[in-house]
Amino acid sequence: MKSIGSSKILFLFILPALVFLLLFFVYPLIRLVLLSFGEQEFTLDNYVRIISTPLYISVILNTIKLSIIVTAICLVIGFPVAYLLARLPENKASILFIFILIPFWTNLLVRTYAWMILLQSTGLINNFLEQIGILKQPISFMYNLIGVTIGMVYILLPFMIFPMYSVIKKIDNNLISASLNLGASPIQTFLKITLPLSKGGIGAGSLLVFILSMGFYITPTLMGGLNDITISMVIAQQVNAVGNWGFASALAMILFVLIVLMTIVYNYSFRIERIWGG
Amino acid sequence: MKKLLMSIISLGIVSILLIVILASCSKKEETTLVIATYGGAWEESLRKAIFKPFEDSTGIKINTSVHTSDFAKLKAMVESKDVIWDVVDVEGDVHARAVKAGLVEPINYNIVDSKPLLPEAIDSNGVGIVIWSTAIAYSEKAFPNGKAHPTNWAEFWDINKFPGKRGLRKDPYGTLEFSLLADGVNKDSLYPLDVDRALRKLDKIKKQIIWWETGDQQPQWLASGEVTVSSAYNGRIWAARAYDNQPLAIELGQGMMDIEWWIVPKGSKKRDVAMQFIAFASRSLYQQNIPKYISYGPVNKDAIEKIDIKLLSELPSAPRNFNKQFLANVEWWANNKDRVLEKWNKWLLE
Repeated sequence: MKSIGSSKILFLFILPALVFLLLFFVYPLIRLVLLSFGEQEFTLDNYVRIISTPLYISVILNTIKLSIIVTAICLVIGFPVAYLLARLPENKASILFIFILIPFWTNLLVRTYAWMILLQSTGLINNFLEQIGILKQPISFMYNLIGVTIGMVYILLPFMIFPMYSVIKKIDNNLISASLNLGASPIQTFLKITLPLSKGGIGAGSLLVFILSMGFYITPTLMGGLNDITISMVIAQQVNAVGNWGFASALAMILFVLIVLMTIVYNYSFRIERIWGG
Repeated sequence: MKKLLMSIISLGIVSILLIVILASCSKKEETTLVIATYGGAWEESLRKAIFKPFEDSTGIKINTSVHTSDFAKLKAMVESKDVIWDVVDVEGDVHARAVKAGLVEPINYNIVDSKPLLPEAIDSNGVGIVIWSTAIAYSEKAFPNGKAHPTNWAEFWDINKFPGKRGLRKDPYGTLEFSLLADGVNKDSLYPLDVDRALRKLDKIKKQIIWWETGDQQPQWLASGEVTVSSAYNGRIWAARAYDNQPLAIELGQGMMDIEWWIVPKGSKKRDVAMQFIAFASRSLYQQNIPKYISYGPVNKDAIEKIDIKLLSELPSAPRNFNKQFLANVEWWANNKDRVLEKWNKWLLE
């Protein structure tokens, strides 16, 4: 496989993807970088403005906080599901997969609006709880952190489950049997064998969910409350409502750099490249 | 594998050819005009009142494209010199920003007759289409006949007298004006806006506010009882009542009027046809048709005179309504939005 001839053919195969990325990702990214340093002449004004305005710092911190919350909840909910999927016989697992995939294939906006119908103060959940007498006053599930979190966790969960599933699936069952045979309790086995061997999947899933959360726009905009302002919302304001594209680019660059840094740290601590097949 | 590669390459070639063919086709068609509008019921009304008669009398076909306050798309189009919109229908603030950014062709008033138009609707870079209003809407379920409802912004702010959640736009545009009116500022001395004062007044009802972002949320929330009173577009409330039989009403007093504009993007390849269209659309004969389909007020004075009294009473540009409201100062917003947004966002985060 490592002969020169085959690697040339392999290169031909990646060529379309490479050209596509260069044209539609790398080139615009370079333009974005240039734009963030001033449209006419070089200036650091945009970056100085971000760093010197407490508002933008708190928006960035807010976005990171939201992303961490969403990632943590996805992990807690997603791990048992991934574990179950990996341990079930194929035919049963595939039925469960359908339940994960169908919402995953449904349009993001549709799903967000569906949640809004359920969660609003005159919505299904509140109505039901009031009918059966548990609630006197409707609970506000929407237009606050709860709403955004529910919406985002629901949408991002598959991105957590799939990488974890693929890693847990690869764990050799004999290791678990051996551990149990040698007298370890199920909990010990889980903590000492299953969990360490799933580390890569946990890392990859968390990273994916975290990155996607950082740039999430629709759900926080529609379901978020007043103070759930994320960096992508500020970027959209600058692009559309203000028309200051230089400043919008600078904000986008900050987001980009944050995500790249995060990826490096994650990669280093979880050795994710193993999951991508490296 | 070679087969796969070949099929990928041929697919690529075919699609490139297809694009070239499509592109050359659209260049050949000289007799179409592309108009970008906000879509929905509004475009439907424009089609019946203006587009259809224009097509019938000139033989020029109108294709529409929907945009969502797409200042960004307009800017990208003009800057890349690839203008595919010949005429764009924009809100006042988009108009002012587009003019400021140099994205708009001047209007040729040798072709467009400005004499019968309201002076507010004449601009060197745009011609008004209609006047609409953002005002106090309420549900008649919450305030049945005979029961007093909020009639001005001070009462809108009065949570004790009129309990219930308030709907306001999650944007400083308009919301700050209403807040200042509630605080006792005269409608003629609103601008330049005292942003800090407006935010302080908003603090008083911050917990009672549910923030809308799109026009469809206004009638929806009022009808479902999510809010009892809301700032809302008069056309949306009118449509919810007329078409969906929702028990909603709107109080135009102290409303903020906005002018909707026709603009021609800079570098449009069909500038002359575009001017011809705008001239056609501004005539009283077609202007007076608009309120039959949507309750927006014509800007042509002759048209206003011809509309029957009952219909007229609901239109923002009817003389007796016009004077009760104020016109949004979009130039002020174009120059200050960036600064105001920073304060606004900070206030939201507090």
